Amino acid sequence: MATYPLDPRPASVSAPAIIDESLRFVSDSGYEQRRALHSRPRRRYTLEYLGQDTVHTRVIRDFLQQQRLGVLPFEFVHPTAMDACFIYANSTPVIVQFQHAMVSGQWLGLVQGPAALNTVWKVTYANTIQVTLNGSQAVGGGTVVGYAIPYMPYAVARMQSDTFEAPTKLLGPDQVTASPSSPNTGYFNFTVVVEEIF
Amino acid sequence: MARILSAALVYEKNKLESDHVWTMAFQLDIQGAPVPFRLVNYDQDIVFHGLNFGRFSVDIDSLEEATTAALVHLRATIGNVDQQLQSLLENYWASSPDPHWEVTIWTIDAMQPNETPFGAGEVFSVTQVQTDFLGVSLDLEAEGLTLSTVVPRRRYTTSSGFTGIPRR
Repeated sequence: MATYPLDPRPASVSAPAIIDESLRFVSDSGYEQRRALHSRPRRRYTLEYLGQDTVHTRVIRDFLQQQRLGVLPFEFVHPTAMDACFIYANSTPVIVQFQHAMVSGQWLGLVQGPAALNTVWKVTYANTIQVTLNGSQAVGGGTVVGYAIPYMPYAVARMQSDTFEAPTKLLGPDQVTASPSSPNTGYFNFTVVVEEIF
Repeated sequence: MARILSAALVYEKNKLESDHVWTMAFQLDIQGAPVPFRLVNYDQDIVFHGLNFGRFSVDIDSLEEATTAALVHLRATIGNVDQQLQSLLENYWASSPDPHWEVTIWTIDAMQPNETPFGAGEVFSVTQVQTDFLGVSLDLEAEGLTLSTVVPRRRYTTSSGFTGIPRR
């Protein structure tokens, strides 16, 4: 499966919007019943690219076209955020501690932790500051400070009316020049919305 | 069909609000096919009494309890974007002069599916199918045998054996 491009990096990634559909029934008496519709909430990020030159704009355009805009799922690694975390590498399953705001079934990627743990993990919610890594084994080394990166194994681009609207043109034509530093390249602003799917 | 719910299910069912998802598991028993096709209307696969039910998009219209002897009709619309179900229909429905497909539907709590007994499934037979690019609609009819049997098996008379009961 394709991975969402990390280069170019967006100028801004929104904090995730949270999507969690529910069933709701209110009677005339005002008494209400509510029930969740899905196993867990999902996240939706808005990526803003500001002042990207033509080459980098085309990297994103090419990627989205290859995914047929909103059809094919891709892997998404958060391009700008790394959460500092404590990794309790002596416990089985391994516990990761930080103010995570994740739910069971979501994934994170670990970096700069114990080598055997530096990969992506599906997590189980333990409490508000701890998640456990599903299927992980203690690797020793005690408590390690590492980084957790939000990761979504399945995500799709969400487009209004199945259209990736024309990027806002800041400067110049949509043309690629012989030298990347040539002043004749175009510069563009655009936005991509990426949504987690099950 | 009377349903006896376990204590855990009664507790869950009566909650005013809950993060447990109630959904439906489906088993298609296709005449001529080697194995049943098992799907659940959910975003995760579910193991139900040791059997794997794959996640699938299914919509079902209002499911009503039979209060009279009338047969219960309902329609299940199953996602057909991948043409998976269509290929089953082409192989086992269109090719048979008298196709016999049965659908068993269980209402389950996705967090504790095994609380629903395996025998508590409602059995329907497929009477008609329609397909398009998006979905397959199965018209279902509650299994005739159970509804056409009169219980208790006895003859009704004017008094039904209770002569002392006043009647209009």
